[in-house]
Amino acid sequence: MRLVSGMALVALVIGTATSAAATGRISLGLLASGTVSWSVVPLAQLFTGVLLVRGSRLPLADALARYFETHRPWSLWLLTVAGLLLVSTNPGAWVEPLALTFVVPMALTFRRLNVLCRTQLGFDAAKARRRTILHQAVTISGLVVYGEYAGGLLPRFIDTVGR
Amino acid sequence: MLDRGGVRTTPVAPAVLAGDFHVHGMPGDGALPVWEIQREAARRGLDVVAITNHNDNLSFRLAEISGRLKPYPIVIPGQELTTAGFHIAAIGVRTMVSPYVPVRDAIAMIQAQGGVAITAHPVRKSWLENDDEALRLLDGSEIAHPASLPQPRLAAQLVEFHARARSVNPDIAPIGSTDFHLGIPLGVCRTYLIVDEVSESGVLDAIRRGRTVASVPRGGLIGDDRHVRMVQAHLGPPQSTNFRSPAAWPALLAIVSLGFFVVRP
Repeated sequence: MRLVSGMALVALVIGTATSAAATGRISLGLLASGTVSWSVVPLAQLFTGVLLVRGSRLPLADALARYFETHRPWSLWLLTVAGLLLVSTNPGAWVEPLALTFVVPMALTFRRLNVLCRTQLGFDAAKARRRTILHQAVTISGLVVYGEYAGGLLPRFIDTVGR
Repeated sequence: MLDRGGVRTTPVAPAVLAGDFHVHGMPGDGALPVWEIQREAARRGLDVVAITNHNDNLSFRLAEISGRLKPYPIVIPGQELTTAGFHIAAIGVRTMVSPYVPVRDAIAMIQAQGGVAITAHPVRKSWLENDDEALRLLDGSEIAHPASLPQPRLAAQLVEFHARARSVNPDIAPIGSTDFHLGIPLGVCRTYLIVDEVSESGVLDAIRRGRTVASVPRGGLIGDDRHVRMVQAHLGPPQSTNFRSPAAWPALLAIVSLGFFVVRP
């Protein structure tokens, strides 16, 4: 139950932030659509979470529930960015600078995952570091693959290299 | 067209329609699924939107399969053909065009499907082609784009491109598009079309014939004088470039509440 509510909270946060930042409002219909559509993210995280927590001293569901709590920096970042875009007089000019602050939740998540591995999952320092790096590498690879699909990264890369 | 209840209804042709022909949906790099884009289009006073994800149209196909699309506003499938040398909004295509073909071939493939080819944000870094024949083949060029609003240098490049294209292609349609992802209201830059038929084919035909006027918030209308005069009689209220409206406050409250819930011990 704790695992499901953790996953649902991640989907709700993403659905709320994207709906508000795209339309400047919130309605029940928008929230439902956004939350369901973006629930693919916590489902993908379930896979990366299993990579991180496998072999821990906790039962799998409990370990994964604690893993989803490490999403807090990303959740707060998404909500903050959406809130700032809502109140900005010129949101178009802020999208890219705000997007670049993604390094903050990324660094905080790395730290939280490492702490989770050492203090709750029962891994020693070296194993905790290896698992955290593996998790982040798989996550970033997944984002690059999605970026290629969603944003046409490969032709853009060829364009950049070709200049 | 709005009825008394504020609900968008289908106008009767001939008519002036408002469209946004560069919109990204989810899944893709857009934030909203296509049926929510359609609702947002109605709310923003648009009659037609084209879904133009980068080299893909899964989001449109999912919306079709889901059965959640309404008959109006019109939603046209498309593709932002994203290549190493140029970006083209291919409107009205159902089969994706490869990003690895030369520009003239790409335009021919789009038009062979009954679609129209519109250069997407043709500032210098997005259009490396030095090919007048390609300009002659184009159906439209984005002359109004939100990226140019805070940057006069980019606005000048869009105008310069359109003038160059028009010198070899006098009927090229001026297009205003939002390149909608998130952060900027849908339809903030838009295209007014003078259509003989209120349908996807009527919209594409208006673009092909250059019967369009591009609209920039606070910057007025760009297009042939006689088209501008026709459009002026149908203009709605000016488009806001931000989300600061009474509707934003409940959204902000929801965000703050959710934030507190996330950080709870």
